[in-house]
Amino acid sequence: MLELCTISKAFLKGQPVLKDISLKVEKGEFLAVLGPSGCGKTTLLRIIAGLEYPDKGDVYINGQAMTHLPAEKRPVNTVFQNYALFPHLTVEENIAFGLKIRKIEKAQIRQKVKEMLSLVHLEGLGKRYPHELSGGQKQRVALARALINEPQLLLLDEPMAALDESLRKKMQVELKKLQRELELTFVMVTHDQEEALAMADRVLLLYNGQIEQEGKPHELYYTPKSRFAAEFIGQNNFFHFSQLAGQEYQFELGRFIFTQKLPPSFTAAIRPEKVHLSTTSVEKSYPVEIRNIIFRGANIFFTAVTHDGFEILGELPAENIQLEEGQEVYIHIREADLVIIA
Amino acid sequence: MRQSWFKYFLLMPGTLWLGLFVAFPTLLVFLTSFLSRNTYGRLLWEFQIDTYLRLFQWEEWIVILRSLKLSLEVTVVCLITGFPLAYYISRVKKSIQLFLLLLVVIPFLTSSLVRTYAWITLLQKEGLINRLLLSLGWIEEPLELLYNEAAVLLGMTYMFLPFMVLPLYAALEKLDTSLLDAARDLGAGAITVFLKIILPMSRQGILAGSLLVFVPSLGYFFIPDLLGGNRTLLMSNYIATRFSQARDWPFGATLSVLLILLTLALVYLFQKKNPKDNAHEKKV
Ligand SMILES: Nc1ncnc2c1ncn2[C@@H]1O[C@H](COP(=O)(O)OP(=O)(O)O)[C@@H](O)[C@H]1O
Ligand SMILES: [Mg+2]
Repeated sequence: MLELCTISKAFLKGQPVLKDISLKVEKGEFLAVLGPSGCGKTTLLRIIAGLEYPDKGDVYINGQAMTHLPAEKRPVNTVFQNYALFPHLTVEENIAFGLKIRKIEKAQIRQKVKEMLSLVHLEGLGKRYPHELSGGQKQRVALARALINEPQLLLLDEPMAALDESLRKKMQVELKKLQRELELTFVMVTHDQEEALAMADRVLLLYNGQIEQEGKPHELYYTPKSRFAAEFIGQNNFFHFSQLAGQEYQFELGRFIFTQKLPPSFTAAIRPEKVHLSTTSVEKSYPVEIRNIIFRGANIFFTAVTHDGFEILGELPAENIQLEEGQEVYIHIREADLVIIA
Repeated sequence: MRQSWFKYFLLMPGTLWLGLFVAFPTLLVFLTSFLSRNTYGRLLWEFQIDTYLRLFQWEEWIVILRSLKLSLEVTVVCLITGFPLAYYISRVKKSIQLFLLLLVVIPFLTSSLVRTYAWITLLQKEGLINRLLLSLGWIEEPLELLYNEAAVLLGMTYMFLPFMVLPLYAALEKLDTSLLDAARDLGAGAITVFLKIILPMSRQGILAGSLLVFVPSLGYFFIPDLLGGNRTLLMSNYIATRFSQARDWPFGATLSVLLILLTLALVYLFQKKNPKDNAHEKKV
């Protein structure tokens, strides 16, 4: 469907923004490109859309080279970061824009605009101007304006960034449903890791203009390959292990004996929800004091502090847990929960 | 209460100024247009409307129509030349924008009369342009560049171009580039982007600029006088000569009243066109 081969791009007098990016997207797939702000996500989308040309590399859509085709000739549509609705046109006229350019019959345009309005639940708002819409409604118009052209590939640039928290969650579900039902191919860029994991079939983590890691959401979450990936996606505790003898290592909490052979020195991460507590000392458990309990609905977060002052973030289901600040407990760490990231 | 009193107090100097130097003279012109004159041009307190009836004569209309035509031409030429310039200025870096805008308004630092004389030295028979073309051997005889309508058009366009460029720039500067990207993304080529996005979104500036060029160009009399010689009779210099050589103040005043009414009608149309259609501009 979409294939990028070693795309590189630098702007005038600047660092390269993208370095040798290659990726493939299958038909009907939902790919999320995740990365911190300024890492080149928008630039990548613009290169796919044809609004920017790469310095090097090629863009293929359905096997056809598109690298030098201008945006208006590509079978791709975009939902822009701030929607970019035409302020001088009504909702209907905005949505009809693409079809009008293709000189489709008037009656047919009217029919399709109507269908689109109902698809994105904006019936009755067709005569309004963009400034008379809420953020969520604007987003739907932007979506309808792109989808009406039946693009083979839809690009979405931070489509939820301008929405408030609760609306964002709702739109995430809706957008994903739409993509499934219409069997559309989506490439969405976002800096929100939760959003990427929740919506996409596959996530591509972009950092410093390069692909840091690529995989299914749970792969990125549970097996981050680098410190950056582990830090950027979800929350993690990091430990540094150094070999004492054989499989016995020293780390921030004390001693740990691994069952596998490992390098003499490495970093490992553990998710807060994998930090187990026990009231009695068992094997591979370490004494800590509980501080800062934060209640977050279904879960509580706490900070466990060792005698040396090292802090570990933990998470537990809120039910049936009686935890108090200042309580002295043991942290239990299992080898299987440690993700070794070099 | 005190506040509103204070507000009127603040408005006083402006109101006085406008009253003294705009409203009062306009009233005088209006009054004069209904007075009579004796053979020496002296105003007499005898009311008449013959000067208004004269407006319905064809000879007078020729002048008025020629004036309107020239002003329209000036406006169109200013628009065609000013638009690309304003668009270019609005798209470069902010620091360069300021510099270019400065270049656009710098001519205002010199008297417009002086600048019009400068055109004479350029265009006249022994002028710079003719001498250059002669020395290059491109022409045998000096060209008649001065004292025709084209020279007036050139001089007026030169004089009023900034009045077109500034409002156009103000409108285009607000134009978000992502809209142009969005239009292209939806399949619009360069011409469609221009016609469907850039043009409608700069309508406000086009209207304002056109008004600012069209209206004063109707009344500017020394450019047609200096560059058009006495061959180009326009409403503006026609009015001027009614007051000077012809000593026919009542008719000059009548023509002035006509000019004022025309201007007011245009301003009214402009205002009426605006509030509704540009509701979107208030919020973005
Ligand atoms: N047109 C441009 N000219 C110069 N630099 C640009 C341009 N567009 C983007 N950049 C730079 O490229 C980098 C990546 O930008 P962008 O792709 O917008 O990042 P993201 O969308 O991930 O936040 C930024 O450092 C930005 O300043
Ligand atoms: Mg961006």
